[in-house]
Amino acid sequence: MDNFKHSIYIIVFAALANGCGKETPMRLMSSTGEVSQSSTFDNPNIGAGGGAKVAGLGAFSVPTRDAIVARLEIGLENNAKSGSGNFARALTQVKSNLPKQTDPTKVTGLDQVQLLVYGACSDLTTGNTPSMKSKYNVDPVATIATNQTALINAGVKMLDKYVAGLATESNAAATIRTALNTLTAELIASGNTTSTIAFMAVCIAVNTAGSSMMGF
Amino acid sequence: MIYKSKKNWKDLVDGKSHEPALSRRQFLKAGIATGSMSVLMSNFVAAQFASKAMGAELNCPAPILPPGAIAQLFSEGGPTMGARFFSEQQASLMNAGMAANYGITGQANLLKLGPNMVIDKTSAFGFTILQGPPGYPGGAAAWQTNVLSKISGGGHLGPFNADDGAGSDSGLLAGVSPFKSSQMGKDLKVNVSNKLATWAEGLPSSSVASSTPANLAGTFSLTPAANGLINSNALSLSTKAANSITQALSSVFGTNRKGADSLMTSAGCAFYGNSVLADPNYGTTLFNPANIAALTSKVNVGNLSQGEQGQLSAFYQSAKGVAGGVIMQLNGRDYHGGDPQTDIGPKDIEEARAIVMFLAACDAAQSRGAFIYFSNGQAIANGAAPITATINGATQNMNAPIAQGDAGGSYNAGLILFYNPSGTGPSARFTGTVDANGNAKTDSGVASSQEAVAGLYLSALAWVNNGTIPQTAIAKMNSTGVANDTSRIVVI
Repeated sequence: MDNFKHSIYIIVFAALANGCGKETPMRLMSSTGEVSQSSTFDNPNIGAGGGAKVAGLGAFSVPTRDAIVARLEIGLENNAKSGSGNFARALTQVKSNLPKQTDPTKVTGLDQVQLLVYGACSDLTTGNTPSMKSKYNVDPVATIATNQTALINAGVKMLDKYVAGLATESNAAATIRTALNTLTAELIASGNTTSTIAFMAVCIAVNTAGSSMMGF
Repeated sequence: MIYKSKKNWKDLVDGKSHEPALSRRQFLKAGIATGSMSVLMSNFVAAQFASKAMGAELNCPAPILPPGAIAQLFSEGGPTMGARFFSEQQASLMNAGMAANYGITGQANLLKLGPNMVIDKTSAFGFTILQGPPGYPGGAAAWQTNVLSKISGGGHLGPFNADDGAGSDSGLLAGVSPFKSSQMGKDLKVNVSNKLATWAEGLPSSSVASSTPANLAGTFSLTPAANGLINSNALSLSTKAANSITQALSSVFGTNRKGADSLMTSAGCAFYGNSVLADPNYGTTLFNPANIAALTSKVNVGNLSQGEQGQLSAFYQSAKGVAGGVIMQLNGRDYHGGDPQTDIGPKDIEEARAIVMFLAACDAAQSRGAFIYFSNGQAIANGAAPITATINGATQNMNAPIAQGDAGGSYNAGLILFYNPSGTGPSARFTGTVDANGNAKTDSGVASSQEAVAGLYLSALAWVNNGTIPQTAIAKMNSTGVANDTSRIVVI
């Protein structure tokens, strides 16, 4: 009996330890991207910075306006250009509010990045044969379910441009595909959503992440 | 009889106090435990370090609509005290010399609106406050009864004594998001160009050059319009995916560096706030007061300037919990030597009108409000001069300060006005004192203008939060070296 109890203790501890060990690092945004709704500054250390946490690595830097625009053009494979179309119009709207500081503890205007990405992505949906179809094989008149694989591939392809192919060639590849699969599946489940909207959602997700959340 | 026998080493080896020898089963049990620990413990410990390094969870302010308006009006330069409220202590001490220095007419024309809220009713500033907004039901008399009777004031006398250039960019502007929750999760900044308080750097906000409805609406809209391209749900799901992707790549890129957690939190939370923008009418619905029935029932918005319309709607959205705070900067207030009729009077009226818009918004929303109001320094006057000005469409006679020169901030005050829709404003205090000339002396407990600003903001947060100061705000201020003793700087 004593041995049985001891074994139970070990199993319980193993479960706890293994669970925490595998999940906690992913809880930054959690594996499903869920966020808890409480104060940003529950942890007073957030925002203050605490010095480099890994020896030899410097501080994280945020891309500012011009860098974001340049990254976005690359991420969209120059299918949208900042000097024309909706990309240009959106840039005119948000440029004064885009991030101006590289210090992540002081930067403001990150919300505007997503608005810029939205405008740029919309340029891929225009025309008789939009880039979303000709470049990424997402048919705007087909269902999201039909396009699901193409949507995920489009997202990974765009993301690869920001991360030197590591969206497909790293140990994060499977998780990235899972995130995009979840996104498209939830859009299918929501109903009344077109493939154009699904493409926009994928495009916005990967390009906001790539252009502003990876830092330098 | 006691028999004693000396023990030798053999007795110690064979002693019965030893534990019994380890059985085979016990040996295996201990081995399994140790083996499990060696594998799992490292995983467990590493996870704790990783968690800390990567910033733990992404915590965003809840997208709710807590009522309560907070605003700041910062006047760059330094007008006279004629463009300010006075404390009751200042009012009681008012003599001819002090009134002249302040640019007002004197004791006879002082009017107490509420606790620590005294104005010169003939000054351009005070007269404008008393008129209220155009079209208020019942006119100025009803405005005074229904709104001005519900205000109170407090503040810090003295610390804003670095006049003009020395006081510029000394960190006297700030913000309230995310300490004050709101649907947008951010503040609105209007023409803010001066340096922010250190603790306010990085707080979420959107900026416009001027407070016209079109400017404000444009900041809260999508280009092109969302029709057929995105909807609120898809934008929110997209943000969730972006966060997951960033999370997945964080280990690849070693984003456990300084600031990485801040960026991920700031960006992730900011993106979630954009989902409401998928409504093509969102911006104009929020910031065109003609579209807000609660405002049109209280104010003839067509008689307001475009800037006042934007202020009114922005303050209203703060009061309703849609926006965080509204932070405004007015330039050109270093107006000593200016003409009372064409320069000083209009500027004092402009500041008073901003306060009127704030109070009208709080009244329309029936929400608590806190309005922070000061400048970097103050000018000395030599009495007041009669002027005429058009208020709410009618030409009126009033007085404007004859501002002579910089006073090195001798007459300065960092003010906060409280509005309580349910009755008299809260009991608030002034720190510091004034002498017979009206010169302000800083309280020893207020170490700097930065401390005073922090105290005013904490007071505002406390008032709209039903008396509770958000600990997150204190922690953020503490991290930059201010607000270490809130009892000295909070005025309610």
